[in-house]
Amino acid sequence: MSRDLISPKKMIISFLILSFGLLAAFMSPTNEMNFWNKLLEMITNKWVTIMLLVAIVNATTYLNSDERKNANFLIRFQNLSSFLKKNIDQIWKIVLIFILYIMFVSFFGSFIFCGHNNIENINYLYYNIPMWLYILFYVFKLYFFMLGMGILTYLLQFKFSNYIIVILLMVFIAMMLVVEVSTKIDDIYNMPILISNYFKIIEYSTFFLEIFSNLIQLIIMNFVILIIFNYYSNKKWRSKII
Amino acid sequence: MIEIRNVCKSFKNNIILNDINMKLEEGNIYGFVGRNGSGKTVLLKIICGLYMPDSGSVLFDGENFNEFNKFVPNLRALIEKPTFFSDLTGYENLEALARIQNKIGKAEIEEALKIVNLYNEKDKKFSKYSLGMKQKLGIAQAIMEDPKILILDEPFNGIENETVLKISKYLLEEKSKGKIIIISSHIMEDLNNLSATLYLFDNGKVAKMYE
Repeated sequence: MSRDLISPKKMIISFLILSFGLLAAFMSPTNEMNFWNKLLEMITNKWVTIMLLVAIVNATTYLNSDERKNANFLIRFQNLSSFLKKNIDQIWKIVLIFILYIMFVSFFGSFIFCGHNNIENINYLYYNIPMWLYILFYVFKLYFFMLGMGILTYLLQFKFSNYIIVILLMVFIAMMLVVEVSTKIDDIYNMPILISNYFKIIEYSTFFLEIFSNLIQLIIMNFVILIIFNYYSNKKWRSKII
Repeated sequence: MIEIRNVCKSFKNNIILNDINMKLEEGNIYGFVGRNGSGKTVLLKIICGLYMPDSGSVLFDGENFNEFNKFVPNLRALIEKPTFFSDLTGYENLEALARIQNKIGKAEIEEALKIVNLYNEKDKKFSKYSLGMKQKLGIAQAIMEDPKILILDEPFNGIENETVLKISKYLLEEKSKGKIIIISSHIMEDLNNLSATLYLFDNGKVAKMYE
């Protein structure tokens, strides 16, 4: 039996959390009867995003459990850095599985909701590109940002207790629900910096500007992760990890 | 050879180890004896690279792995209470640990379980294990990859005499193969069968040495 990923119990809890988000998205009132619009509406629904993040945090607490942080486990690695990389290696697999689940349920949910007569492709509301292309872009964007969030919460758990992580998560959820970006972004200097806005549908003047802004946001996020990773890879953290 | 040079360690102004020096050579069993809190477990953790000494160094054949931020290869240990995945069986737990380095397979894992008399319970969930069985599994994970340096902290806690004798016999065989084996205990009699060189710890210092 493989124990590279996550305990079956934690996995079931995470899927239940994701399912609540997807149910909220499916039940949200809409007049939309086009399959692609409904699909976009579902995967970009803020409750799906919030529950995805909660599911990821739930999974990363497992990676930080005593079973994986004891002496038996740790000394089998070459150094602390390879120990952290091994666990980060699990996070990308976990996030990928969760996103595939969201895509699978959203796809069939939208199909059931709209019926087979409304699947003709349309253009995305803000840019002159096919909707499927924007959905594909959004899924990639969601994956990389959520991977970053997963790694960040995993690393932060070495320093902060689970209570602090829950409080940080609540603040993030509150920001997701309260802070809105209503203005159109027409140059790179106006791109949103606040992390909760990375997961929202925001109108940019061009698709290229949206891609470029997201790349910069990803670089900022990765820079922060790299600093924290190098900080914890230091040998003085060995005794604090176990 | 492991050379411990002037190792000092304190926690919040409480001196735990004070200028420890020793040379541990291949083909020997070393016993660290002392009451609880005498500093022996902290020294074992420093040897394993889990704690950094405040000053001094630990050299393995002249090499200081701490300096390069590395764990010592070919060193395995049972330190304090072993922790395993409670929802996996004993065998699956060892398999999960073995997969980190992928050096051994089923045969070696089963052999280790036989040495500690746990083979018949290998398919039980860890959560169903008694204290002694958990301890046996802890020893099994330390020996299964045939390490050159073996560190066992209070290994015989909760284990029945028959298994203690069997493990002791195994350790004597491994000693004759040229391994360095370090065992700590707060009871000197635990180490009687092992013809070990004993270091008696008191207040963070080696108070006596018996060869």
